[in-house]
Amino acid sequence: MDKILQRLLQTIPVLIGISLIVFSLMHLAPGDPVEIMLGEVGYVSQEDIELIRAELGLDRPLPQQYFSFVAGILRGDWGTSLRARVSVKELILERLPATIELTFAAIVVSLIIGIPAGVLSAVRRYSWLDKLGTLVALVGISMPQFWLGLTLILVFSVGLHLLPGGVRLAFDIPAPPTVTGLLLVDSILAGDWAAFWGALRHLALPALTLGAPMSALTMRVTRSSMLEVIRQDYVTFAKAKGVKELSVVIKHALRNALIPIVTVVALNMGSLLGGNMIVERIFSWPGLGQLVVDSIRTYDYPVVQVAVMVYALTYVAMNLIADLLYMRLNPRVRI
Amino acid sequence: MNRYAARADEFVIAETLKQKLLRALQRTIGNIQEFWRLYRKNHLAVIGGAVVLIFISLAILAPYVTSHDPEAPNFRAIRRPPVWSKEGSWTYPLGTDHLGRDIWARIIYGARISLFIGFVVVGFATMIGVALGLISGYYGGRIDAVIQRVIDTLLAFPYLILATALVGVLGPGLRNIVLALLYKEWVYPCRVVRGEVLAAKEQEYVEAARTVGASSRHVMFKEILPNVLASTVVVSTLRVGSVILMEASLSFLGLGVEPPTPAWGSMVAEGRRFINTEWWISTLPGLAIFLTVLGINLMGEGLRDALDPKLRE
Amino acid sequence: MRKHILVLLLVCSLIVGIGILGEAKTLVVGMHDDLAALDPADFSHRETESMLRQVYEGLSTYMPSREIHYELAESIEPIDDTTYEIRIREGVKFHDGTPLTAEDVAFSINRLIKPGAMAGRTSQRRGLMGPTKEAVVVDEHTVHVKLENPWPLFPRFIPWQMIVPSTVGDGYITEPVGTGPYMFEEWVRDSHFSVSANPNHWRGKPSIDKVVFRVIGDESARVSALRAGEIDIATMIPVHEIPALEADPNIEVLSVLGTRSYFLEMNVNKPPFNDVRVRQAMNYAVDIDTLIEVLYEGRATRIPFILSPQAFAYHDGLPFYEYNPEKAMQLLAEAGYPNGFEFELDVVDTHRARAEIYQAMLAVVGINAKIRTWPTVSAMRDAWMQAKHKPAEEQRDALLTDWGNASLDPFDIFIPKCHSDASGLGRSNYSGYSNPEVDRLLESTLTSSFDEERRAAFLKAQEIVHGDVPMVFEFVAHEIYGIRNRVKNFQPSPDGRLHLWAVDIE
Repeated sequence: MDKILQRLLQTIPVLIGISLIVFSLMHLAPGDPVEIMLGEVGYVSQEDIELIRAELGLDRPLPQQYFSFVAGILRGDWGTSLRARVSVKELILERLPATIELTFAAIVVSLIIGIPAGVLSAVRRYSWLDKLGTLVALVGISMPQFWLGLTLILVFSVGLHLLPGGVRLAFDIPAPPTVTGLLLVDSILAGDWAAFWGALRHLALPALTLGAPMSALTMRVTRSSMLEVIRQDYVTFAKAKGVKELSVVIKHALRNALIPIVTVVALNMGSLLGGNMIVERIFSWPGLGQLVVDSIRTYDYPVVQVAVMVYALTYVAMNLIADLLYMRLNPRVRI
Repeated sequence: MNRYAARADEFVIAETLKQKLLRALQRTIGNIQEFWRLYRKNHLAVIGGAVVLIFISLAILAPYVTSHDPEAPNFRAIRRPPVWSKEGSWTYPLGTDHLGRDIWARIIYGARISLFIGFVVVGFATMIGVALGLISGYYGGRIDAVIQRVIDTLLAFPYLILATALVGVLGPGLRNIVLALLYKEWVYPCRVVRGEVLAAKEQEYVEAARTVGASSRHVMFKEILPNVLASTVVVSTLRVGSVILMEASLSFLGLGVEPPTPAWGSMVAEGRRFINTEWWISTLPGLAIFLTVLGINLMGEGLRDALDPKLRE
Repeated sequence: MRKHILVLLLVCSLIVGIGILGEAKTLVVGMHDDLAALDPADFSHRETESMLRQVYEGLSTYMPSREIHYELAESIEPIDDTTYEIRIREGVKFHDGTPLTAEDVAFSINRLIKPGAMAGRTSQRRGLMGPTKEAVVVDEHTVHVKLENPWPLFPRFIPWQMIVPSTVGDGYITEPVGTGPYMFEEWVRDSHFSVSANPNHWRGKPSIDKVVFRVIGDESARVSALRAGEIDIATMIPVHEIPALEADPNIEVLSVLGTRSYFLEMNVNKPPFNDVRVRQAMNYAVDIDTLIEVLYEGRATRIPFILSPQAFAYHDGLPFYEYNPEKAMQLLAEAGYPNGFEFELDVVDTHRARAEIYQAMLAVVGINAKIRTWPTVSAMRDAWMQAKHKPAEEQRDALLTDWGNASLDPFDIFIPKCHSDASGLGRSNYSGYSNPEVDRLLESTLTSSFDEERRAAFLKAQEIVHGDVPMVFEFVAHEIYGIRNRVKNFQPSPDGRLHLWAVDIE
């Protein structure tokens, strides 16, 4: 119990650190927010500019702005975008489902590719298949995601006209009524198979791009934890009983190797989320990653602050959950 | 003590020194041979090393490999196709970009930026990370807690987002990119070193050194550091690939080195407009990034196998 | 078996889907940018106006020919130096059925100019209202607009504003209800904005039942969508895609001279650009025709100053600084820079190719331009704003920029760029150019009630500034639209307005 409490306490300085970094980053940034709002309006007096500055609360001292920023975050009042002039909360909640859907699709891709490849590599250890697997995994983590995305678009969209190279759903297919915001789930709930198929096709290339490095990782973890399990007695025992090799592998080894795989996948959600900045940009995917890039570029700092907070907090939460689960499962673990 | 005896003493000292040096040299050569024997077994690692070597030599010898100025536009040769296409010619082996600059020249000069940033960032990060990792792991306690919380905080930010925001604040340019990447990069060697130190502390030879009364600095640098070096080298090599990818991503987002200096990521970004019409402008520089990073990663794997067998599996 | 049912279901739903689409006439427009907001008083963004204008109307509007046509007004006439009388069209109804009254018009105007009128915030469009003081209701169909001082531009600037019902109160509009030819259906940010025909429009029901504006920011994707027939009209076609589009028998490429002027501003208060000969040399050293050829394959119109040839008071007698590197070097030598000099060239990231062309051309005469890229225009402008208050040697050197002049009146390009008052009229004068004679002439155009007086003042001012060359004058780019052949009666406008009431599809 103490350990859990200690682990929870550890997150407090981290949360404070995150909020400080986020706040200071955007306040050090060049670009006067009032100028950003006004854009190319030709005829604005200095008084008007001061007026808007006061309306935005930008005339107050920095520490005061920081505390009202933190208080706002805690209260659920996340401020207003300078560019879109809607509440940041609305903007982010609007973008979140697209990112979640893409992230989960990428995880699924990585599991579909990574687990069988890892199992195969482990079972046929040191064979040419294993070596090929290692090479392919390295290829997966060595490709710049923007290049992989562009190449997939070039081949499958521009060249073969097989799969769409952008956005979430073709326009001529009406979107299913929004329940979760995840198009695949919503279209199943609505029984709208045209939308489901459309959304799936649109998801294919971005999910593959985002999932590629993740697949490599999943494959390697699967391989090593499989090897560990295979070495253990009960597998040898099962083999000795004459059970066919493949069924041994699947029934016994994989089931036991799954725990570390799931942990690694969960822990890498964070880095996966970071990659979506690039992938969403390439595929015009209306998610959080694109919002962050656009907002950083336009110095729309209320949006950047909160969006980066969302990323960081997701990471902290995933880490915490993984650690606590681990402690629960394995009380001897120390941190 | 007479002169001769002194001379003889000197001679003996010189001889032992010579022998010591010789033995050390032999040991080093032996180590290198042993290392090479292990490394060579991994064919992919050899290929990867060769690819990296080729890119490094191309970067260094760039002016001798192409006669084109990578930054000079030719307004009469815009968006020419590569040599293997019907209208291609050997004047521009990989074609030209939207300003008529030779893509081959830009790729090999671009290697300078990518490799420079990769090695410099990882170099500095390793120095910072090793120092902090040793301190953190060896002393533990409050100082360890502070360093670990800072690391946790930095790890919570996706790397690219943090780097993008930092370059946004600092402004573009080589120096600022290096700083923005260093901001988080030191965390990785630091964690590895700390882990190794914690493991080493448990081991007998450190215990022994301590009971003999060796100073903590002595223990840290003479006993622990050499043992963590192998894993640091492996991790750092693999990190070079990641940093190169990161720099390419920053350049792709328009936050790279200033034009007209060629950088691979910005070449892909600039060529992206022409993906429907002239695919090579964006595809070929991307291929260069991919090959370089793959080479480095293959090399890192080979190093891991050769230097640190216990890191395998 | 289950698989077969699935396939069957899929086919059925597809057929049903196509059937539904076949009934209504839907026009799909591929936009390069999304709306900024749904409130017609809360944006300063051209594409937002293009789309919101389907739902809302102004008192008047600009036609593709640049003529002003009345929409909700029947007349806008001055009754004295500082008062305009607006007669409002009768029988116009908002989409919810309530009739348009003078109160709505007065409310809409006051909402734009009163500080804090929208949820405590002030409209960003206030600047476009000039010295407008107040609108008052005279009777059910008449509104008087009071000005602080005489402002003859009022009728030319009122087409930039839209009329909203007075029922919106003091908040923001999130559910647009206007009088326009189309009624708001839905806006999914970064996806689409869709509207359906208003059967009760005062000009009659439009021929198209539904218009959908799809946001496709990526230009290659936009072109692909047009070629695939997923969209009927695509905005902002990049020039390198034109040959393939023209070869497609189903697609027509339309082009219109835009309203955005491109130029380089040089800091006239800091060496070396404080010497007029250096600034002239810059103009001679950059080959604008080649620049246009490389960047736009010729689809841009060179300008001798910063005004578009379509602008009011455009001076057609001003000569171009024709490309002449020898003359440039000679001028540099006279100015004391026989070996050239080095300076920092600021540019927005998206215009880096333009800066690289400058750099290559300037290198020929010995000038070394070091490029500094900025992620956005606002960041670059802000850096210049801050530097303005510093001593000259700490200021920045030159910036490569552009300025939208959608009104095509020099008022909102010439004055902000060339008036010397950096915190007032010359808010965007980054070159630091200051000439009392030019200031006087520009100020006189603000209060003069006569077009001819204004024209004369602008022409004179243009001659002076053209001689002082605080800028390298470049071009106005053409805007290129791609349309499917089934679209009839579509005409692009220089200012990005999309007049869709008369457009039909086969």
